[in-house]
Amino acid sequence: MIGILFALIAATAWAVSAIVARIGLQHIGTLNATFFSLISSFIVLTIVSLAIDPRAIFAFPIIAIPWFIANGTLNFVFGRLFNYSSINYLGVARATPIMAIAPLISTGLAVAFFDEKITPLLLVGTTSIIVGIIAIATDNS
Amino acid sequence: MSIPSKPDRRSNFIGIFFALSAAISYGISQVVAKKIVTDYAEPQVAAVTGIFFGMIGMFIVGLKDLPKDLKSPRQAQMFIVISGIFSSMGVLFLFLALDRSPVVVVTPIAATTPLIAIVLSIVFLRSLEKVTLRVILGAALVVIGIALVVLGRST
Repeated sequence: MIGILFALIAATAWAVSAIVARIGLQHIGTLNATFFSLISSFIVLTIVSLAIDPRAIFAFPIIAIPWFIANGTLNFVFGRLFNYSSINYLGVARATPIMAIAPLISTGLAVAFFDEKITPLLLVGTTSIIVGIIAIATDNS
Repeated sequence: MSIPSKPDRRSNFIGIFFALSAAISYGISQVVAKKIVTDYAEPQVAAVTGIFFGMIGMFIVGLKDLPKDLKSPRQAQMFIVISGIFSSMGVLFLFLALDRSPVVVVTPIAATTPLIAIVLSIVFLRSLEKVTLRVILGAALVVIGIALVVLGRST
């Protein structure tokens, strides 16, 4: 039950993040809006990470660094920058559902490269997502 | 740059391109993050190091516009800072949720973000955004679809 509550809080936090970004982006460029938001995210997550296990933050092999850079570039340079840019152009209501298809992308990659099976639920879900995206993308109001 | 209240065709196309690009970036990064937490580091370390390198990257990319953006209204800067805080809170609570409940339960609930965002935008962004029934139904189909994809992957 507490797990469901936490998941709901996570979803709400991301929604609030998009709403306040939309307001701020009216007066600030997306490049540095992304940079400023990453600074605050970094501070919060570093504090929490140090509180959980202060030693873990430095306990990783050197070989992991290219993976960290890849993760940072994909998730935060491209991901958040495109996130804010799409909110800037489409608004929150239309941008967030399109960006929510990320699990479909990772599932597609898992099917393509890690031999995960395609199940009927996966096909129905993918169809539902595509129809939803088309409905949003073709909304002319 | 101000947000157009009614996007034209070009803005619409660019916006959809950016949103799909964000989804692809996030989707690929989930695969990379999975590799990191499986082989190299704790989830919180993966998150902190990822943001650290992302921050350096964005500093370099945005450096040219930085003096101008530092002169933007303090209130706008605060909204962006708050956005970053809430975004990281989302990540934290997702980890907490995954620690206490199975992924098949947590992921579909976490995927309701678009529906919550639509409700919030109706309440708080009334003067900026017009939310149509078509967008609400489209978002609902996406959320249902994500839940089915996650369930289909887990079964």
